[in-house]
Amino acid sequence: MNVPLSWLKTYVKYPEDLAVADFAEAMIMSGSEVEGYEEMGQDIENVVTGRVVEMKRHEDSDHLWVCMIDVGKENLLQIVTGAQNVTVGAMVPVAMDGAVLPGGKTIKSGALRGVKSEGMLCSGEELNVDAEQFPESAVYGIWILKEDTPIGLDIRTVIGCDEVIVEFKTLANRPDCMCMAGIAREVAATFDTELTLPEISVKETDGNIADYVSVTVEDSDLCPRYCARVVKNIRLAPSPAWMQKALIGAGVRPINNVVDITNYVMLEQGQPMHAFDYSCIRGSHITVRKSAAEDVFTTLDGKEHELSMQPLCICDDEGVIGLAGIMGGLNSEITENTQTVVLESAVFNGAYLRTSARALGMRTEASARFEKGVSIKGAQVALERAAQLFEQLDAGDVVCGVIDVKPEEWTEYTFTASADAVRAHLGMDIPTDTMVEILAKLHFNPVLDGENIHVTVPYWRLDVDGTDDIAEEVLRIYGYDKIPSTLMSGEVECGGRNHRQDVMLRTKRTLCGMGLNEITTFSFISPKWFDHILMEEDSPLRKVLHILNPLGEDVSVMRTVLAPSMLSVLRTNQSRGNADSALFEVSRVFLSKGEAEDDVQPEERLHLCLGLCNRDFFYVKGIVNNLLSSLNINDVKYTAGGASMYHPGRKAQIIAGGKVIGEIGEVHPDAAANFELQGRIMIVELELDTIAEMSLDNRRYVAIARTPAITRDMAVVVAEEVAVGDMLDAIKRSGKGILESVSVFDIYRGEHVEEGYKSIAFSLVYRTPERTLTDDEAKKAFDRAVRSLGAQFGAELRA
Amino acid sequence: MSDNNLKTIETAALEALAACTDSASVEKVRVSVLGKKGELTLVMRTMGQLPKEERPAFGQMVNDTRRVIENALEERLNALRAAEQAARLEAERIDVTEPAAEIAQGSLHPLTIVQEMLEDIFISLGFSVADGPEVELDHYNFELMNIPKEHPARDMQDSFYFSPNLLLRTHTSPVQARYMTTHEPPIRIICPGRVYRCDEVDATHSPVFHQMEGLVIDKGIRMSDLKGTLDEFAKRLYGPETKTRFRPSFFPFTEPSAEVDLTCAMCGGKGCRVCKGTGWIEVLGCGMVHPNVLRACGIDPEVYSGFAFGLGLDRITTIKYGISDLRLMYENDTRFLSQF
Repeated sequence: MNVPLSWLKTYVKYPEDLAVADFAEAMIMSGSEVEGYEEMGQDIENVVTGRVVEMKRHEDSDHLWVCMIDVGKENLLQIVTGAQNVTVGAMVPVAMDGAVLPGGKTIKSGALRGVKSEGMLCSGEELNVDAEQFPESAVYGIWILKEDTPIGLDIRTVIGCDEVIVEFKTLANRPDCMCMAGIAREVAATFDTELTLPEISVKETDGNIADYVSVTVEDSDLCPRYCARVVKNIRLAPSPAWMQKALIGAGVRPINNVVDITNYVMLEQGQPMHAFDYSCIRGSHITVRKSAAEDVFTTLDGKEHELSMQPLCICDDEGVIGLAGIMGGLNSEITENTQTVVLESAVFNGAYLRTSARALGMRTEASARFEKGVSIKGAQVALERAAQLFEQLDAGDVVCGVIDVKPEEWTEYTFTASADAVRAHLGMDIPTDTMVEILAKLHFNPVLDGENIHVTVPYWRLDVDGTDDIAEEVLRIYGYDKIPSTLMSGEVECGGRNHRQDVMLRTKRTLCGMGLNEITTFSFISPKWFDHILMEEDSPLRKVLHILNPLGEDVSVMRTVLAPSMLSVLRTNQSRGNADSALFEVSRVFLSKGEAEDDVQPEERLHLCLGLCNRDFFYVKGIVNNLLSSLNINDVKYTAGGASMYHPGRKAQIIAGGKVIGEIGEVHPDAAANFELQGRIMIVELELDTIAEMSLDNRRYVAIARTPAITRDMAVVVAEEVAVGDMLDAIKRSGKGILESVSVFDIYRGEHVEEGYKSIAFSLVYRTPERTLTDDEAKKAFDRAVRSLGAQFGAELRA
Repeated sequence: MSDNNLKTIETAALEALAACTDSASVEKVRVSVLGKKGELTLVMRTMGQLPKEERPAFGQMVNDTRRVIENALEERLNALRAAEQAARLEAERIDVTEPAAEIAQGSLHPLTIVQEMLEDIFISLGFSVADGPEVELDHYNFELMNIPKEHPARDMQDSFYFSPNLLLRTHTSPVQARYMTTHEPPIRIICPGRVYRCDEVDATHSPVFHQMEGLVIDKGIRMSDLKGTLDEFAKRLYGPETKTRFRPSFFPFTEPSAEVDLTCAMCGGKGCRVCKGTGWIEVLGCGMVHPNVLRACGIDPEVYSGFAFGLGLDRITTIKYGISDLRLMYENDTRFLSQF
């Protein structure tokens, strides 16, 4: 809300010599949210009003005039102008020597075609004047000011831009601060200064409102109070300058006295109001009800609305005449023919109104206030204030009587807060007397009873109902900067990360140590990406959660797999010339359960994805093995197979503890092409949750063998399709407790090995820890291994 | 045989040693003089031919000569070995400014680094790290946080919905709610994690971002304890001189509520570009847990009280590293990632 300080100062004594910056700071520290402030007219200097007392033609020009100007100083100023609309006696804005105009233009004394000119006469445009507010400024030539403008006045005063506008943001719990009175109350409490809100009293003339109009409210939940007054003999005119200035300062366009009063009261009291032309209320009867679904209605702004969502409406006997709390209708607008008005000051249900306003795509000053909440009592106060202004402005005659439809009498809310409880809650030794003083300043009418404070919540405060609220009220005025620092007492807690969090962090560190960079990508992806990774149509991973209101189609579904996000990041890096990325991401995937998939919480599983450009399968397999080994998962197997996003001959499922814990593979060229990726890409996707469950640090030290080992190498030739992993398993089984380890040290294809065959060289280490092994024992075991490979895989020892 | 002879041997040996240029030639000298067939050994063997009474004196003389030669030998050997080693080391001199071998060096994402750092600070203050779902029920995300349907505070949260009941969590508060409904006080947790709001991506906004919230519930927890905890946190985050400033604010789930500024780590509070000249940076929202929240989560506000706080990990990260554009964090350009 934009608060012109000059207007605010009419409601509260503003501390003398207080800079705006300090004002804003103090208001922030007492609980207002100040977004900023603007000192208007800062860019105009040394421009004053002056009267043209003499004019003559420039001797060397057929269009220049030499004017003598009275600016209220001893000497007249001689100023040359090219404008043709200036006359003797005219009041004009005069930029004197050294003046600065908006945009930074400076004016200096000089000479025009040899004639001295001590400044410049200004147009409205040069002063950046609002043409709407000062229509006479919008002419070609100099801005001719009103006759009665005093001489020598700073032009900023004339324009009304010596103003400071402070922008307050309304906190969701403080709708009462969405008006001048509310902010004035905060200022008074913050600076301990006098509040000068207007005394409200209404002078009724004659008649009886009951003879004019009656009101029915169908649902008091949607409209807990409806107050109305009638004003007759409307004398439609522009509102006075002070009111116009106030409205403009707050950003509201003045229209006429009737409309301006309703807007002025809304800005002053925070209560939205509406004025209906009485003659347009058919049947002289107002009903507050939901519209019929088929109704169509044209609002004041000339827009037609279908009311299918049935907003709350103000209706006469024949139809809708206003959208309650949002905007009035064109069919009951105030016009120059208006004789009598019905003034409405009501309370509408904020939640219902919010839904309607959203559906209608309308948000007005009025609806914003109702949504945040207005006070039941305030509706009546505002109505009286408006009636008072009608009388004060001589805009009409207030008919006797008030309509006030409400289900029950409004009563004050009172409760008792314990001063000790407040102190205990805050951990601060604020004296009870101080609390009482503060609460009095905030209009809580505190009454002290021992250490108990009885408070009466002021009608405009909708947010206070307990000791915690009182603690906050006291604290914000007492000073948040006075809160001491204390240490928590109580049982000592031993905090920390849980096992899963530990595993996650260790995984990240291990991968980082192996040269991979960690990435972070969005959890929602494009549904097209499932096609891009060649996922089968019936894959359960295609059962995704859809965001109802995504930012775009490409971020509209929750991912069930991390790989496509990884491929997308690899593409970004390739396209930017970052060679050979090696990346990983640890993040959640969202696996839908149940049939109504968008209404049930999915299973969230932690996944780890690796993505590397230009690394071969076995390099990446090494990374996986190292990682798993660092997590104490050592019995890891790879079996050919996996998702269709991979190269059919270069993919494997990773198995540990009898469970598939992930997949590794080279990306299928089609999938790579879908992501515009070049070269060979390796992807690994692992189920980190499962890995965390398996990763138990149950390691025990195994004594280092002191006995010598016997190492035997063998090279065998087998058919290409025989899996080395199976051969290793067979060798291990043949070891009979004395084989310590077996490793592959060479795989050879080519000369001397037949096409379709490969030569595998194994190194076998035999040892028994308790005694020295004999050569004979080792030889027997070795022969067993050879026989076993021969029998199972047709392996032949290489010559 | 005379001592003259011995003298000659000694002199010749010492001269030969002096002429040696490497350890191998010293060894030759040793063999020729002291070896089995060496000159001095041969002299020693002639001792048997001497009268018995002359033998001790003669033996003494030979041994003296031997000792002199041995000492000279060792000395010469040491000198030559030292010279040889010095020469070898000199020959092995390298240019230490030649480039290092390339050891693959990965990196943690800056968000991970900062999250871990903050977690460690709070863990050292006795907090546990709690997790919860990112796809959350309206009940936990809003209702239990004292934000009923149609509450104006929901204006602050433009959320991604899957159904009227199911949404992407807009803060990590539902983790607190879930924890409170399943654990008895005392509670002391932090909840770091991803959160989501309908913000278009720009330099300071992202629809996916990261928060860390904290919650303490116990008997007798006061607002001053909140201040004390955050003061301690601030000091450990930005150094012992760091101060906090509490400003009144509003959150539906806390009462009283506060925004917390820390003295700017870049300028130490003098005012700079990072803090827009104010000397303060806004990092935290916090407050005493609202009694409605406690009640809704099954904790008796008459017995227990507590505080909660929340901070944006992305913001702390961008400030810490001077990252000018939030988008960099989600683009994952390796030239960016490698800097951490």
